[in-house]
Amino acid sequence: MSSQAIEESTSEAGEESVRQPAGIVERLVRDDVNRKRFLKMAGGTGAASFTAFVLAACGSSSKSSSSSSAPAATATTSATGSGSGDLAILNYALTLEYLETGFYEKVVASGLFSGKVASLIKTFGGQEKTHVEALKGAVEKLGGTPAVNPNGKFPINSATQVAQLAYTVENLGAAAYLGQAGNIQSPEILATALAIHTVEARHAATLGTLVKKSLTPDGAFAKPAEMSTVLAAIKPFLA
Amino acid sequence: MTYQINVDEIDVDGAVREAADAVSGDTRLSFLKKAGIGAGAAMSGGALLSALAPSALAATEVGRPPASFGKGDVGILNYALTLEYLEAAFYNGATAANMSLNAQTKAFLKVVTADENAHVAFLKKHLGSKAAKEPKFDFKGANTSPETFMKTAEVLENTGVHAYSGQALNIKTPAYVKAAVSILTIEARHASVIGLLNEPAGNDIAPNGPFDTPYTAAKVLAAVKATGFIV
Repeated sequence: MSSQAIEESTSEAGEESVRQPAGIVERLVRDDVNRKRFLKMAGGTGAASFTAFVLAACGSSSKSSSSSSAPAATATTSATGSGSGDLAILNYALTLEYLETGFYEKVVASGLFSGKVASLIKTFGGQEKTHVEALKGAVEKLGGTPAVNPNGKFPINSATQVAQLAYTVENLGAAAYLGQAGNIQSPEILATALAIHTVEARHAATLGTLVKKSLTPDGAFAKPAEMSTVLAAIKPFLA
Repeated sequence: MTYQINVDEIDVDGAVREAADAVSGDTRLSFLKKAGIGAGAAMSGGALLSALAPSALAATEVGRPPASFGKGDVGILNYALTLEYLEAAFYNGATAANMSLNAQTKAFLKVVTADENAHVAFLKKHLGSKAAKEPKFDFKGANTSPETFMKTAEVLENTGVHAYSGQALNIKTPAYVKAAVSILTIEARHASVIGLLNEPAGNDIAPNGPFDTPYTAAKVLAAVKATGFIV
């Protein structure tokens, strides 16, 4: 498929279920107004705490939501392993890394890519897996319970669509880490998050080049994404 | 040089790489050598985990820029500004050189030129009268021929990542921490893309592996000095 074909295929009808959330995520990562709109559309009336989110995602009947915008300020250590403060942030990151790892595993298994691109995808997936291990280890080191693998579901239809989705997911991941940079208390955890964060950014920019999109969609200064925004954006993948 | 990289044709022109590799003196390698960035510099997952041990609070207050850059956050911002001056001047010169670049490298140059100049403007604005003056640069032709330009750009961008990573924990003002990390991630994006353009197999996208590595100011400044770009 030529790069032109890639561009054309993305404007074709018929991938609505795939393109729509991806497009929205892209825009909301860039635009605060859109972010708020997205949250409204997603039915969020306030920023759900990570614990409430995980409980909901795990099928708990609990519908509690917190109006706190601080990350999981109301969280308690539970079977979902959320914890509070840095622990909650680590588990939030761990959940995102689990999703990314699962996504890349599915993409590799799909056989949609071959050659150099396939090897890139494999490398990226391997790096996400290493992030999972590092974050799990960090949670345990802090005496917490690591979040469980949410076993995400992703639409895997075509090389073009998957590459676009990967670009979206990586940009979201990078923005998610950036959104927590100012919230992390422990210097070691911050150092770890930063070391991971830039690698997410590297993946995102590379994918942007591959799908002929901007390597820096936010311009010269990357924009952070709030936890509530990110959680709303990944909701479709947790179905 | 007309190779393009996309999902299907990521390495269509291996010849370009060979030509780039044949450039005498390989700026990148000699730069890395001088900078002492060699095998073993990358931090493995295991090393990172052990770095999480309480004894390794070492990440903070270590490797700050020398006092000549100023005190506290001002010193760190001036250190960053100096590196941004270097990058911006390098790209401004590259843009002015009107090199024959392929479409993707041209697009890269446009983005990085705008970004680095924006970083300079941002840092200058926040430093106000305390802003360091722009040094005089001599890039010795490194930004006027496509091959050396691309290789040197990759080194500069990765150096930026190492430098910002190395200071993020030393910054006291929360707003500046956020700004520095916001810039840091942009440097990483630049680095990965020029890495891909230089090395279509993808090995330079994340040269440090799954975790980027912070460098002390001393290490970064020694590497910058070794280029001879600042006169």
